Amino acid sequence: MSDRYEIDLNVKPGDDLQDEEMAETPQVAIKRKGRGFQSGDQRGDGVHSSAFDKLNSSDDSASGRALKSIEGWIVLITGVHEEATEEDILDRFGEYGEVKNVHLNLDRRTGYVKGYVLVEYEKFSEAEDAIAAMNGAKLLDQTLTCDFAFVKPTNSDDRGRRGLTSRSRGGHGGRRSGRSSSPTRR
Amino acid sequence: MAALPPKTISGIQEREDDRVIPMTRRPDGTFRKERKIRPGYTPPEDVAKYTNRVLESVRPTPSPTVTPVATTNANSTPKSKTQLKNDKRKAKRKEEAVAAELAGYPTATNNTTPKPTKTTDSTAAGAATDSTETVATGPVDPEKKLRALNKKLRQVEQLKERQAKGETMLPEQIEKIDKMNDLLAQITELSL
Amino acid sequence: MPAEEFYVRYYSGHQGRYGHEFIEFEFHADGRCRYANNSNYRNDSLIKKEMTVSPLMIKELKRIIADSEVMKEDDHKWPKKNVVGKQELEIRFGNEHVSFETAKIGSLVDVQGSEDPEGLRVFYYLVQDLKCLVFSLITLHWKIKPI
Repeated sequence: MSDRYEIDLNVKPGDDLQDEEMAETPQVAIKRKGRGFQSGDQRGDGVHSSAFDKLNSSDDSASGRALKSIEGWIVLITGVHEEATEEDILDRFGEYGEVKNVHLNLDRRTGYVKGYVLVEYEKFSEAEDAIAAMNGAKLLDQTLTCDFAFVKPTNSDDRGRRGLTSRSRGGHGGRRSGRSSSPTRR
Repeated sequence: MAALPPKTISGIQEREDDRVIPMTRRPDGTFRKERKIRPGYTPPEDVAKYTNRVLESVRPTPSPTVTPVATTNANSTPKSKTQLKNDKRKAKRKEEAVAAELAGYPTATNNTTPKPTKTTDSTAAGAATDSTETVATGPVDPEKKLRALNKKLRQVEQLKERQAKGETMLPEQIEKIDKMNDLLAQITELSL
Repeated sequence: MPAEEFYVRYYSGHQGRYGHEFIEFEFHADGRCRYANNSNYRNDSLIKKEMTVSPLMIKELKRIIADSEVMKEDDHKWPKKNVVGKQELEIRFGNEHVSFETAKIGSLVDVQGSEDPEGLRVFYYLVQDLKCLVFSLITLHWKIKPI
């Protein structure tokens, strides 16, 4: 373990409890490391801003928790063998409907399959069939796990929380939270 | 380390029958695991850059085999050769110019006046051919290059000053400033 | 629902002639994923996308990060942020929380001469793989090409 981890043993009770970060596991030591914690930069833009484009489900109940993408339904497959090919995927997943798109991403450093595939079906029923049939199936001796890639947002969303543990949020809340003992480093 | 062939930019090590990212030690003493590379795969970082003679002469050469001293030596001999050639060419052109003059302007009175102007013209032309000649025969004249590099360096220094004064820089200007170390390296290499 | 703390955020950007230009994305344990890209160069474009990915996607993301062993690296020997900009990679994974900050890496050639080239390569390639995943998600979900 790195000696540069800072170990902050939380926390005095009654300390700044409006923060989720410490509300969950107040007793656990969090090991922190990296120059980002010292950096005082704070930005209001980027992922911590507001008004993000979102896709909303028009037809609810029918598709359960899955969410339709612009043109179809995206299925995620994990546990994909490092030497699997697009043909292998199309072969197996084409059985349940026409695969409109395949993203079989490779590890940029080693050239092997990263381990996951994203495929697109036009119809919900096709995606559903594929998931039902292929979840737990084997491809090149490895067990696949399949599910929808996108789901409807959990609990009515926009809860006003931005950045769970992020320091950019962060600069004030996240860092201060549960770490009252450490002075602000800037 | 010394016995092994050098790693590539991506950190891949060639071995007898395969390629791997070898196990390495972290500063804290723990080890990064070895990772195998897919046979036949080369990360984009390791794909050789496109190059040609002109680019090579401009790019700083990482290989120590081509020392700048060698370049100067190799360059000085053909340079005198080209000079000889150019002298010949100049002489020839002068003759041609005179002939053209005679053909183009048959008036005998013009004969004396245009002659000196023509001479300067042809020298300029000669100088032009001289420079193209050097580019074509091999790497750019190191002195010329050094001058160009020094000029660039001066510009970068000026940019840096402006930046220090708090002026906002264009991305291109920032890029230029960032190339300063590159420039310095090239200059030291050339001024050896 | 989220059994353990998990959060990933990557940022790369700079302040320049065209204002604050950056790309940033984050994943939360509950699947919420946000992507923001602001490049004012030539055409004014600010892209902000939010989507919720399934628990399986988060699980795969965790696997990719764990496999990279990036949490065991340390940024203190990596090049410091500079005028060209900076990159940040913040990961909260269980009880470990890293927030790495380094210069933009124009090319891996720069990495070679640095003090911790192997550590920096781990960072560099994980970032590539994460970007690749995010771009795939965005492309497929929104049918747009991220910059």
